[in-house]
Amino acid sequence: MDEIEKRLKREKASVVRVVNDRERLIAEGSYPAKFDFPIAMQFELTSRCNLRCKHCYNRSGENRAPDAMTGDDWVAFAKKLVAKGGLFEVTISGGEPLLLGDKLFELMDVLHEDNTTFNLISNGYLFDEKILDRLKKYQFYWFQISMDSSSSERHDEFRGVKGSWKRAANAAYRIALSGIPLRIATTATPRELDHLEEIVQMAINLGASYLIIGEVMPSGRAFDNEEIFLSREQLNQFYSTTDELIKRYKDKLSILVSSSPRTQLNYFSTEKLDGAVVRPNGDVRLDCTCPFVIGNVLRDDVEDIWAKYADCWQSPLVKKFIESCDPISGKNSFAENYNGADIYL
Amino acid sequence: MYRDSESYAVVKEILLESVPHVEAVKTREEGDILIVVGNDKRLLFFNEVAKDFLLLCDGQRRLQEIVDTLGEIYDVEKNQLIDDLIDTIQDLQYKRILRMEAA
Ligand code: SF4
Repeated sequence: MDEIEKRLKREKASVVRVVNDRERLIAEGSYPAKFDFPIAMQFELTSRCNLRCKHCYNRSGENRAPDAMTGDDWVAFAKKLVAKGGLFEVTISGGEPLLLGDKLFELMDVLHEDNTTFNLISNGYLFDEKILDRLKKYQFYWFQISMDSSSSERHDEFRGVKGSWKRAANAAYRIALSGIPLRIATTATPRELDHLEEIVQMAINLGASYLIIGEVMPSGRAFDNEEIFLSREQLNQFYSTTDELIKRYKDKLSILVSSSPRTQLNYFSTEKLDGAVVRPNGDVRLDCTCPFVIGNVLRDDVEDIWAKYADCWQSPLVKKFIESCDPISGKNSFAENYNGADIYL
Repeated sequence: MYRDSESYAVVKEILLESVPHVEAVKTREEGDILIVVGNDKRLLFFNEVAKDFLLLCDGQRRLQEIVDTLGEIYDVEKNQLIDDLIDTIQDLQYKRILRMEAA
């Protein structure tokens, strides 16, 4: 059995364990059989971006038309959510969410007053002391800065803008110093495979609490750059190297390795807790890794959209999508996420 | 057995006179379940009994008063209810979402 097979077996076992534990808790009356309202959501605030990363899963920065959701629409949407009981966790991403300027903070204020805890994903390019001062008051599970190499040259080339590594490193360091839990996210591409330990050391030096290492998500712009996907042999190397790094650095840094795309989809399809991604055009997607749209917050009531959420994961089209996801490469023979048209359920 | 001992009887007296304070950051009812995020930001789920107890902890009522109210809702022997609540309180304190204040 090679590293990939061992890894997939482990992932499968852990999904079964989580699902069984959850079923047991539901049977004991200690966990809701269904959620009337989401616990957590992801807001992709804008499709605008100041970088042009080769792997961008949602093709940010390509859309010339303005986002349908304005800053005011996001604030109004947050107010609606709060009026209905609010969310416990909101992940803010984009595009680059800092491009929203003051409206980002207005939106976060609405949720913060309702005691929501945040995750924020940024490339760090626009970060400065003023922004940090404004961010300090919020509760975060983590603040993620994406850094795809320990080499500024390779990172800048991958992300399409010179100087982006330096700005990301600077932002990461300041976030960690401020006490906000820093998570560095890195994408394992063939040319970084022999440098993963350097990335771990860089993350430790910058004060990260977590490092998340993932393969390229087979979605969006990644398909324009086939050379960034790992081959089967490279994937084996990736799994054995990351297993080793997790052990070696366990006292210094929490290293997480993303599950394979198919495992993620299998897990989400059983999840009764959260999910749903709101797009810059107001569409609500089942998840960022698949092309299914279940409503639009500019048009539909969020409770109506949510009522569809759990059932949609069981729809034949979604099941077909999951079955068509290659267990190793994650590529999908049924539909390509963010390359073909979205599928409305 | 500790629970039959004189010292447990004294501890019980002290606890019954104390006032429980909920330290949750955010709560939401989901059917019979109470969803709670405490100060350590962990998402916790509590069953109906713990939910009813937590909803009665308003920072004013003593544990004794809460026991009396719950005794009217649940068909359970009083001493058993107190023992169960003391276990629940310890669990909630361990999860850092409840603080007891001596009267
Ligand atoms: S990956 Fe992130 S930083 Fe890069 S283009 Fe996409 S949204 Fe922008």
